[in-house]
Amino acid sequence: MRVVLALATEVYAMRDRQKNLETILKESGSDLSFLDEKVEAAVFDEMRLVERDAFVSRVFSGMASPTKADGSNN
Amino acid sequence: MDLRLSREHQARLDLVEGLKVFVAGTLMPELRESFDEWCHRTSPPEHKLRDTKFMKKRLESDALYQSSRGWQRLSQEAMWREVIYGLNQNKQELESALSVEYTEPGSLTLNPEMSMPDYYDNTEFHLQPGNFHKSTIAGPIYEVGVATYTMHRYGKAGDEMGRALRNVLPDKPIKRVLYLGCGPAYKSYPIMDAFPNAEHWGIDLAEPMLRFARQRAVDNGRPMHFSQMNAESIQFPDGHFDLVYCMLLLHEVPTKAVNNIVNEAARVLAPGGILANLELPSYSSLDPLSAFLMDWDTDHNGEPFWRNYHEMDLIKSYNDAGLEAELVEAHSEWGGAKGNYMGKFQYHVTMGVKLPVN
Repeated sequence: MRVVLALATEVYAMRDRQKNLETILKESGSDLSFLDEKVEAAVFDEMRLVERDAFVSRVFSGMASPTKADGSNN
Repeated sequence: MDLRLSREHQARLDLVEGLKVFVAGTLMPELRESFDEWCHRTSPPEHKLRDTKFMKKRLESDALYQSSRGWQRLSQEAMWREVIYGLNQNKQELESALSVEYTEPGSLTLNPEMSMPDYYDNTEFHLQPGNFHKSTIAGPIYEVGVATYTMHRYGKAGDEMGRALRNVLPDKPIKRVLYLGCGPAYKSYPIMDAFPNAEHWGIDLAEPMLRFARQRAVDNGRPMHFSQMNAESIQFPDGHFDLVYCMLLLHEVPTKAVNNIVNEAARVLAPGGILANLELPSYSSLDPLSAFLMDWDTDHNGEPFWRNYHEMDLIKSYNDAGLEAELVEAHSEWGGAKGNYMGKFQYHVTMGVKLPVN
């Protein structure tokens, strides 16, 4: 539970800093509407799909068999 | 109607779908490999492998089984949370769109006196909060959620099942078609394409689903008629339809309700008419591990009637209702996809023909 609380604190602080950065960018005239656009699921966007699956694999691969030296886990 | 989420909300949902893909595509094959290796080593008899208690005892102490089931459950809960959070950002816009009344194409008839059966009112199918009837935007929530739940394996249009069913329906003159438990009804569009000159009806218990189905049908130029009805008590005259069908409905109701629905479907069919029920494959047609994993949904994924459905004799129910019945396999694109924990499978369609009255 201490770990969850520590992670939650870090994530919240990162989000707060990100919001402040967005505010600075908006005030200096940058158009941030791209960030709030509606988009389709990653499965329909090759680049986002590859990135998503790589992230999930890095974070959750501890549940699967150990990774070998060549990066595979079969 | 635009059901897309904002970048941030879609990213959250993408992560959850990515986890589901990881569980299905990486953890489950590993579990299968270790289970097969254990079977090879110990040669347990087939009847033991079909015994839920035996399988539970074997697998519940397996760390990979425990973690994969835990993540399966958590990802389902997280999915609905992110879908609802994302769609709630546009809730007013969605509710406005759903309240528009159209005169064509098709129609919508609601029944304000409709009472929900207890089994429906007290269940959250697939763990969807509020089930299909307690949120005004239950329809959009369902569509976005199910697309993620099935890892988009029903295709962009979500109609893979409808195409599978269409491909096994007999080629005969069809004047009137009834879709039981139609939900948002997008799975029916291939059936409408197959019988473009027929009158198509969809019935469902849930008003929010029917409002959404109507909106979708209008957006897609589909002349479907929707009516709020209980499939156990179909408010149409005897012999009114040439084709009655349902897809993944009967496993969502108790056995008594299955028999009531089959009897009602048979009543409203004309002589020679067809009742087609498409479902996931029976436990007995799957390997023992797949059958056991599929059964997990009964107790842990908001499918309380799933096991009973798979254990009942549906052919007998059809026969008792005066239908000559057979089981037909329908090709599933999803069933052939990689990372499907059940291995390759086909849909099972229980096809019944109403015998003429002598």
